[in-house]
Amino acid sequence: MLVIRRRAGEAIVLPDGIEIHVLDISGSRVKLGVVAPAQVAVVRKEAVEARRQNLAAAASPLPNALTAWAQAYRDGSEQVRSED
Amino acid sequence: MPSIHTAEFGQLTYEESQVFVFPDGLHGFEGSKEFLLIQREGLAPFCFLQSLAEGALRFICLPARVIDPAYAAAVDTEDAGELQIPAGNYAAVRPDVVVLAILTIPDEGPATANLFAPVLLATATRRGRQCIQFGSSAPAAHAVPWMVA
Repeated sequence: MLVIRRRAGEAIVLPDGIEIHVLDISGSRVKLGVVAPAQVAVVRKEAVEARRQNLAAAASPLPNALTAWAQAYRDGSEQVRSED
Repeated sequence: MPSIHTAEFGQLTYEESQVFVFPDGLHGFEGSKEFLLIQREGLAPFCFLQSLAEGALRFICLPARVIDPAYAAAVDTEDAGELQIPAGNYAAVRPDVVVLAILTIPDEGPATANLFAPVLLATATRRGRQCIQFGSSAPAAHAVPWMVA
């Protein structure tokens, strides 16, 4: 990984007209400004993981076992309640 | 009343007041901005988020409290603005904000629940949002051991 030290107000430049500006540093947080062409999607890395997980979830077929799992869960929580 | 043809629940008739509006959609499904929460007797505690934009798009969900009774979802200022509720931590047991974990169900092995990006439904404002838990160690694929095919 390339490591570059920058201060607030400074920036780095990537190809294709992309610039990343350090706008503000406060405590453990840094505020970044990104200049990029409109077709370049800029998202937080966590959103990429959320997207990947959502795509897999949406493609999950409705399992035949769902009714059985639901019943087993309800029976189990019933048992916990009766043991209280 | 409006209705929609869905892949798994057939023709669904609903009232506008039942719709949850997701101003930003869901990650990867930004075009789906309206969902219904579907609950079926016999399938509880499972529930479903059915897209109104796409009849074939639905997510199988569990209330997060079913997976972890102590679970709480952090709502930051951006989330709070979209949900029209105050920012803060929302325990998964409160009645006014439903905290759901989206399930991924593989062909083999246990299903997993996404506790890193829970879906919050604010019942008073009828807004919904998938709230990424930035800085949290909550897993995006938390194995649910009692859901094994």
